[in-house]
Amino acid sequence: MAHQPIDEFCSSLNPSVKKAVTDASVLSTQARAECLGRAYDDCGEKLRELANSIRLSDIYSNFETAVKSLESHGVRVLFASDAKDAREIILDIIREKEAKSVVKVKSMTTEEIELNPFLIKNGVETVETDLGELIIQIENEKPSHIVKPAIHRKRDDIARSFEKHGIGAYDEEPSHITLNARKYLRRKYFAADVVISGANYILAKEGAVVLATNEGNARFSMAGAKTHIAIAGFEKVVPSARELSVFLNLLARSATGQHSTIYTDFVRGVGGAKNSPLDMYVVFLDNGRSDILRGEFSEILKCMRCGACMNRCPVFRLVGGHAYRAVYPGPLGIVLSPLICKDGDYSDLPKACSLCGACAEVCPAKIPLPDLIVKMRDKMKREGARVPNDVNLKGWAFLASSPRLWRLAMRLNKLANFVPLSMVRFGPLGRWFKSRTLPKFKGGKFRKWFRKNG
Amino acid sequence: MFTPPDDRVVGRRVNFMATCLCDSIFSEAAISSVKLLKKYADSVVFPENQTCCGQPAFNSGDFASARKVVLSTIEAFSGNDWPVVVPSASCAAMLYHSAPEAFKGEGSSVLSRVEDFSKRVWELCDYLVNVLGVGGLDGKLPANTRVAIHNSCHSKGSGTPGALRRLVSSIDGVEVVDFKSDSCCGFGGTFSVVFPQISSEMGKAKVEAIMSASPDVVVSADTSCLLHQKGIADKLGIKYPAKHAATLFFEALKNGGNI
Repeated sequence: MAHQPIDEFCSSLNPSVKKAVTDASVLSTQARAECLGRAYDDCGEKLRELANSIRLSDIYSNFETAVKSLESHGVRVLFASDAKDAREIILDIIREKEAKSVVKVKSMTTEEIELNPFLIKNGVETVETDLGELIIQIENEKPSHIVKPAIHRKRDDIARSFEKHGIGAYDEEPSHITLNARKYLRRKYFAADVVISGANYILAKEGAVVLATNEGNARFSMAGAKTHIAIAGFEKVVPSARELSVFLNLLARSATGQHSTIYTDFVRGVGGAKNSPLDMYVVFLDNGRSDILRGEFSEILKCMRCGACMNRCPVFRLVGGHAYRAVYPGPLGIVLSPLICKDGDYSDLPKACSLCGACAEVCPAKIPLPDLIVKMRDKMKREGARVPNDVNLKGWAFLASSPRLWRLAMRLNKLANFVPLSMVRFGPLGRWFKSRTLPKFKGGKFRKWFRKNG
Repeated sequence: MFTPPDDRVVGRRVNFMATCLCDSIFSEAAISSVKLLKKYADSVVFPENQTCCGQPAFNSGDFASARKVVLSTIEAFSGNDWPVVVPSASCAAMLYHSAPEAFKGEGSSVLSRVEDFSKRVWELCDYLVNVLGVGGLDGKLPANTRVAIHNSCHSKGSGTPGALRRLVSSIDGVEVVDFKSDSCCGFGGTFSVVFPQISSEMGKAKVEAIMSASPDVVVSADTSCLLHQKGIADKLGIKYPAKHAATLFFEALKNGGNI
């Protein structure tokens, strides 16, 4: 049987990990529905429509405005065409500042450009300050969810890992795990030279970087470090604080079922608050985005990275984020990752979906994910991708577009009842019969009946 | 998602589209569907040149093949401009939602031909209730028949779930039983054989959730979901009482002496 990595990941996944991912995802989906239901009579339907229509409209002029506003506040704005470019720009800034240590605010964009391993390789101490990110960083893991990066980890093994890495003695009580991380991170905040964050949004008119966190780690990081570098895809630009209200009213509700994140920071550059960094940089990342914006998958750039789609996805719930191999997992990822990750073959990703449409029902930006996913499959096919286990339907399509042949095939299909199909051990039939039966064929019966009784 | 177009064609004369699954396996569901349509509509025709809606190819991402089949379907139903009623929400959604997607970028004349056709397509229960005005069925089943309703993923943006529930509930003797699961059963066409492990785990969870309501009948507007669920249940040794909505409705009407 062909090697299908995502399906095999599901078979080999530890049942307790699978249960942890499923339970956490189901809970988040329920929390989302309850929270939106409490806040809005229409469960946020109108707001979602607004989010869809505002995002990306006038993106080019908003982007120009954002650059000007940021610069007028003394923020240095830089542009990175791809991941490598972005890593080098960031390292150059760090070297220029003669900085030795970096504290990180959770950012999927830095995961996308694989920043941490690059900085560490170049001798810069780089510490994640979000609890979930810290948990996976010390074990050299990648996030398995874009909002809850350690969704696949259980508290006892986190406590063991903390002990191993000197972040407090073994104690699996969640509040004690948090306290241990807090003590460990305090020292890092004070010692850090540079803070690197992403940006949930960038306000064009006000020239502000908006950071939404639940742990206050963005504020701590900025209080300690002298230099702040924020990296963001240019699609994170929204027109102004007025439009931002639409997104902030949806973001936390969709992600975790909170009305808002505990902290929402508006960072407007240097010289504002007393403890703000002395230098601020915003690095705008392209990494394939301008091509996406011009093409048939542009709607994926409306994503607000809430994770609601993966929480709701029946496939994600069974496999978790690592199965997808790429930085962005789940329904969002199976469209976005093949477009921006050029380091491997991700042609099977868009196939990992039953097209049930549940993701689109919860997407706060109303992205028509199933339409994009199936379109991505077609794109892959046209580009000659060979997906393990895929079924070639050309012969079937020939039959289904030749009515006479089709009728003949229908009449003959009863013959298949005499063939022990369920004994087939290979190919699509083998994979079907491994865990399912098939009823008897009754081809031609309905047509015969209709000719007589219709 | 999978919402039908706003301004669909209606009428009391209809085409019946059997679907490839009813054509090849579930002939009972197609026969019952036609009997229902003959009772509630004025006339029903079955264009012989119909084959399949093209969904297997579309969902696999083989748009070129899907377009071929869709065009063949449009040709098959070109004899009149009446609505096309399908005993499957999934096939209906393929034709009213997905088919135009496969033709974007193929030129405006063919796209508008496909879009015109998509406005003619309806799922059976939706059509019975929301077009033909069937408020309920004068049907009868044994007292306290427990019926679990499975709404297919592709039916969710349409009038089908409401119509299906309304018709099932109207049958004398029926008790609709609810269960905790609104997740896909994992069929997804070729998804089931490309990701057999994931698909069958999804199927098992769905079957178990539905059976926890101890139904006497599991009814759905879609034979494809039922094919998958029953296939999974059989292998697990679970007796799975799956029935297409049309078959259940016909039995109930016959039992009540009204068809």
